[in-house]
Amino acid sequence: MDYRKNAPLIAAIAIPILMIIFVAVAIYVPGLFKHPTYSFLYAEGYTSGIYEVKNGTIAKVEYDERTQNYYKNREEVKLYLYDVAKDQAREISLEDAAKLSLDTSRIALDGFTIAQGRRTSLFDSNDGRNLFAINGSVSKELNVGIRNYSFTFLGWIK
Amino acid sequence: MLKAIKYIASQNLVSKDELISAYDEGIAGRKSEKTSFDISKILYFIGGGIIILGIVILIFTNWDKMNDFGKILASLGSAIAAYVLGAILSRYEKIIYAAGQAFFFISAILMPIGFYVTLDIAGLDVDAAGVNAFVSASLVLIYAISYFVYKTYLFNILAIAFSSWFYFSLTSLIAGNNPILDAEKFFEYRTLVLGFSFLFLGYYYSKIDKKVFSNMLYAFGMCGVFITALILGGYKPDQNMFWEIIYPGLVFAAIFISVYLKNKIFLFGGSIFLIAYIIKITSEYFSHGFGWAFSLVIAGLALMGVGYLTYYLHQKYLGSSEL
Repeated sequence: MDYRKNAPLIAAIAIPILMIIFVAVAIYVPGLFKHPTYSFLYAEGYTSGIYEVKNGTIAKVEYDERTQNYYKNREEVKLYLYDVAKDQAREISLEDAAKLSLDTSRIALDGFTIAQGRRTSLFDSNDGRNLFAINGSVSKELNVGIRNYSFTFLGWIK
Repeated sequence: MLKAIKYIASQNLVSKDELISAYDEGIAGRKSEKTSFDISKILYFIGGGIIILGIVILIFTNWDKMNDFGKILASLGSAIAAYVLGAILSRYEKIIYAAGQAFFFISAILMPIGFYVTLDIAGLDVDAAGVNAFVSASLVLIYAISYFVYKTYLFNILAIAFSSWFYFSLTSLIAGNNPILDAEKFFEYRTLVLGFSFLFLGYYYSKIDKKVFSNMLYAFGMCGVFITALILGGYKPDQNMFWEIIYPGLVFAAIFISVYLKNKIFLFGGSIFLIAYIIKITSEYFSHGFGWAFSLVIAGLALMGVGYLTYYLHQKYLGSSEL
């Protein structure tokens, strides 16, 4: 093989391959050394007007009858507890959720925050079905699937 | 042959004028054959485009009436049939060979549609990056193997096009909708890198005397590098100083390369992107301080300078080069 003659071809193939390796390293390597340590409570669907967290406890919002009627046709909101040790989420009832002590700060004490993935096409970008724990350049995809794309973070479990 | 001509001339069997006239007729005949061959090729590809349009309209208008098998047959089946027909016709020479290329082209356009229809029917999310990566990787494999079998540059172009798509879909798959990535910037940097790759590929093809192919890759590569570099520079107050400062360096590097490679694509491309940069920088930094009217004067003078530089370099270094 004539390396001198083929050097531009080798460079042309190597450049995109290096970019692919760079993207993979930049995304996965920082996450190997830093892990989220706090579990959290979240809802699928918009909780505004249905649930509220007051003094670290979740409760149903009490409205007058007219407002209740306004909200009653809205999509059902489900509560989930993400367990960081098991890397999985399970649905919990409002009664069980009300027993948890919540920290509503967006950033946990370990520096992680929760963000929805982005569905990006050539022309626009929307909320995706997956969740990520993010801390600076570290991002870890969580084993969670948001079925209807709407996600509400409710609080870290103290 | 020349010896025979010398002998005939020594015997006064043919005059100089008769020889020249016979030579000119021969050239004219070859030209007319080449012209009609080129027209046939153009018509084949236009016909191919119309066939593609017809099949796409057929699929979309009858989509609801067709069962799953019919949908796959109309899309992937047509693509495979066109490929097989292309392979059969490519065994012949010239005009029929060109028709074979047109059928390969039809197959290349229908093949991704066929893949998507089949995978959609199989229940996969065709918007997912993983599906895109699978489809593009399959197409790269098909057309890379086809190139090695048929040695035709149509397959080379297709393999490069589908490899570029595979590169984008694989990096999207790795990124996995990660919100720490700015989607626009991610796309721009990937395009920039691909642009550099095209420039190297163009240089490789220029070394093996595939000038047209090489210039096509240079043109795409330059657009990839310079358009994305210009966008990455941003606009006041969100400008990126690194890209704004490095951009003229890239442009002058392209102009220098045009002289080194004796290639007009680099010279004209570099000049056009330098003009774009001058207009952007003038409107970004000088239109407020000096006002638009004076800024236009500065930009106009700068553009005249670029015009003269391009003309000077062209005349001095590239006057005799083909492209």
